[in-house]
Amino acid sequence: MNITTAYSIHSDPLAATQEVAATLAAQQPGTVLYFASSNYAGPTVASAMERAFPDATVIGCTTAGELVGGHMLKSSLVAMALPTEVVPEIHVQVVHKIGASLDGVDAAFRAFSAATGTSARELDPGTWVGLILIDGLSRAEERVMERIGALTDVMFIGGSAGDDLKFARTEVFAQGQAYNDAAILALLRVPHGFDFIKTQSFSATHKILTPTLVDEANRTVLEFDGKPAAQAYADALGLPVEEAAKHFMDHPLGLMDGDEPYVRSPQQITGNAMAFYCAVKAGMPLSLLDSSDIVADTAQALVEKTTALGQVAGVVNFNCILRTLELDAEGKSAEYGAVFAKVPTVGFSTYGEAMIGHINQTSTMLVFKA
Amino acid sequence: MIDQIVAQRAKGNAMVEKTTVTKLLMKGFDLSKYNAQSPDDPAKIAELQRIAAEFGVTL
Repeated sequence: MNITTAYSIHSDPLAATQEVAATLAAQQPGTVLYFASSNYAGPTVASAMERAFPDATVIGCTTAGELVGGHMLKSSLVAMALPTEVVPEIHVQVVHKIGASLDGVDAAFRAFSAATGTSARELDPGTWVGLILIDGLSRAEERVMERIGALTDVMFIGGSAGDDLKFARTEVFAQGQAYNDAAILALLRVPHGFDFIKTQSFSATHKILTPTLVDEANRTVLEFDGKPAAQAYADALGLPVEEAAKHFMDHPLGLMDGDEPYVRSPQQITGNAMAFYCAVKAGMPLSLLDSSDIVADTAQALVEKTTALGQVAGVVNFNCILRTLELDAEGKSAEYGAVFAKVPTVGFSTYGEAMIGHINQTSTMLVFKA
Repeated sequence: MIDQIVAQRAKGNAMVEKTTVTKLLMKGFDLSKYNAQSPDDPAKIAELQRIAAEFGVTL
């Protein structure tokens, strides 16, 4: 029951698909996950991947960079083939118009219940796991994840599709089609076991900022602790406001669950307001975070998980684009990719990570037990 | 109320208990900040009732 991966850096989408299929099709996978640069024409890739694996369930999305095996890539197509021994059962739903309504999420879970013969709330979270691939420009991730969390105890993990930092259009793929303003929800039965890694390379300082005035829909904080947001953040750093934005990457904020931060990354300062890459709620205390080494922390997390599980059959890695940019800036991308060299791994650089909620500057990973 | 939501969802499953606590945290309810002596805030109670209904929990 070997999980296998493949990739292509061919610029032509059909040639790239053929190259990937040439490696994976012989495995006769039941499920294929793929992540494609937005530099490819999405509909072409979606259609070609579906045709290449006619007997498999095939899902994917566009990216802001790709991960496969020991490599971090750009402008490529990466894919993972999951044999039916690993995933004997998968159900996929496309949720449309996520920006307007959550009705589609409810409908998707009714369909899951019908397909499995089990209420979504009664599905065994030790046997079933969910994947979510969602339009990364929809700003709907928080609401979708909250709704999923209400409907089921099955863990849904995933990422927001990217578009190579063009911020124009992201797409998710299923059933041979490319969709925008949509989410792919996949429910997988994994009888041999699985687990998760959530790693964010930050620790909390003793400084806490509590939003007291927010524009939640626009992911913007107007005031922390009754003070203009930008000033309060700069004060916490001990810097003038004009300097604050330079420290966003190293000092995001975190909603603390014990010692575990759920990162909220600042995006920009506009006037006195601070916009974030995910929503923050009024009254929710957020700790100022200090950064640590992404490569070392990720390697340690993978070693710890491998030790806990005994052996790992494969990893799907949803790695924040902000982490990728930091790795690129520090010249550590190859080192990061090498962390996964010995484990079949596929993933992409996301516009947000999904695990219980919508988070930033984090890597969320689905780990298949061998 | 918070304990009821967690207990009814978790049904003794430690993993589900932990994730339910985190789901509530993300909705603005930090369980470590509440106990039996916490003052009743009508707005918070109403929000918890809404969450309970959404979670399929009967209070």
